[in-house]
Amino acid sequence: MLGYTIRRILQIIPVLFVISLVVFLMLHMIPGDPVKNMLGINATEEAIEAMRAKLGLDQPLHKQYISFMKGVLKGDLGTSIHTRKPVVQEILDKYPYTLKLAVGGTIVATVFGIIFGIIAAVYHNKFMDNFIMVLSLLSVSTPSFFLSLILMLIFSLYLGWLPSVGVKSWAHYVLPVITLGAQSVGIMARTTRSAMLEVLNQDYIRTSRSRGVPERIIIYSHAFKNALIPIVTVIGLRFGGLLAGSALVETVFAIPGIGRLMVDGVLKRDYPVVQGTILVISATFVIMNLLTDLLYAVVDPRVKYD
Amino acid sequence: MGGSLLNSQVFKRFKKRKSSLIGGIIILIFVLTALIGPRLCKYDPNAIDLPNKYQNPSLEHWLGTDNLGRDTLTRLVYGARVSLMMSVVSVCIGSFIGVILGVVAGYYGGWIDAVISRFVDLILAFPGLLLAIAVVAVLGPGIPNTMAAIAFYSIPYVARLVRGLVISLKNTEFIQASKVIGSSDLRIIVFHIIPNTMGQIIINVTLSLGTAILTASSLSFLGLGVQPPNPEWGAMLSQAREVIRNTPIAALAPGIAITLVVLSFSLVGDGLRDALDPKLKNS
Repeated sequence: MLGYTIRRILQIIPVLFVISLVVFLMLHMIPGDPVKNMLGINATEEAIEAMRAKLGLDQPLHKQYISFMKGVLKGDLGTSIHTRKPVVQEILDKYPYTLKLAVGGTIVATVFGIIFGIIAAVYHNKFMDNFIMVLSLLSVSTPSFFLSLILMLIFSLYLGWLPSVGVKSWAHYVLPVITLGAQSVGIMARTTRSAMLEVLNQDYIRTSRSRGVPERIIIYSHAFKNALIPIVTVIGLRFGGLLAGSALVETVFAIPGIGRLMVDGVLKRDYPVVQGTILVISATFVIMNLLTDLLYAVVDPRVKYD
Repeated sequence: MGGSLLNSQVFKRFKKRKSSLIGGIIILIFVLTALIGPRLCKYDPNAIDLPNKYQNPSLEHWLGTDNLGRDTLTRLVYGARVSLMMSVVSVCIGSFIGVILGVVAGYYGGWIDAVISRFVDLILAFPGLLLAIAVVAVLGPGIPNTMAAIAFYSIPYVARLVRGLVISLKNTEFIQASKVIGSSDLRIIVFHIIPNTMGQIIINVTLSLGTAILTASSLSFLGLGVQPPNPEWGAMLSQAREVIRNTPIAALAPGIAITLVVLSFSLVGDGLRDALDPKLKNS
């Protein structure tokens, strides 16, 4: 297991390196002069030159990348053009909000997705199965910002049960977490259902049934454990999706998370903030995928021998 | 003759799945709305009429008016044109590039495959919406750049799908036979390989159209996509959320439109998958 873990950790180093290269090159792919874009049309030539020197854009490309990477490794992602605060500080201030949303959304998606998926598989081709599949399709098709508004309209504005915006208490997170998780519930339910159906059709399940093993034990102990691999994959992939998708939910519920920070950075052309947030979200996604892979080995011991 | 027989069989199988047929009809209605709807509207989608802002539905304004007094139904109809056009064009461009990359990688293998596959892996290393936001961060907001973002977002999925199909196809007997009789690579790719991957590509394009509409409306909702005063469903919803308590219909109408279209594309995609490749049914 240790060897497998070390091998997998080594494998993500080139991926992180290439991500950092792409994020670095983003600034250089912007049509026109990025410094003029940042400072606006009224900026003086001196201010533009000063900013160019500050960002290191007057250096050759390879030197710029080396100094960018040195900064990243030291935890320095530059300074926000807009707030003049270090980008790392901005990210550290806002990341916990997004992390709470993404973790909460993943828990909602996993718990409800697996429950609905198992019910659908057990009642295959019956009313319950069709009903859950229609609901899951609807959840995948509904944009999260629309669902946010519907939930806010019903539970905050009409019923007054939950607060609509802000992050003052745990109650403020209920609607955003449900919204963020809802889309993944459908995906999780579909994945669980098809994984369960595949396992439930195997010979050893038929044998267990013929031996009189109770159906509850067959479903939860025999089938579900073996259906876990695709489910774990989707959980890992969805976490990254939720991190990126949180920008929408954060916008509706006025949560000062990293997604909103990134979008504001794009709107204000605050490129150091945009680069920093994209780098952090992508790196989190890659690390989550690594953890998912390591979890495989726990769920299915065959994986580490491949 | 063979083609029409096949098509009629595909259509018969497609029709059997009622939900997909309903999805197809809904898409047809939205396409017709996008094509001829604007001619039937009596209001200008961008005409500001401040004395009549925040109107609830009435005979004059069936879906009420928005924060600038613009008719919501008219903007919804014009928005259908923008949303559908953006998704269709961008998915087609993305799929076209993806097919080329996938065919080249799968057919030639070796270092070309390695380079293209690493490129695809790299794009997929960025989660969902983040990639589209990154492209808009570089290019700036607006309709063409949003389309570029969506097209770029579609490339890796198509490329990976087609590469897999081509790898399994290129060792089949009919492709080997074609090589033996001296057919050029281009001929084999254009006349044998691509037609045999077309079914999967069509299914993928249909399913991608729904994702494209979701991505485009998400970008516009965040203020990164279609810019005001252009009517686009995501942007309309973003503007309407300020007044959701008093005139909820202004937010509900574009939201329902997005959901319906995305749902319909999923249903049609599932139906096409069953009809074009019955082996995949219930997968």
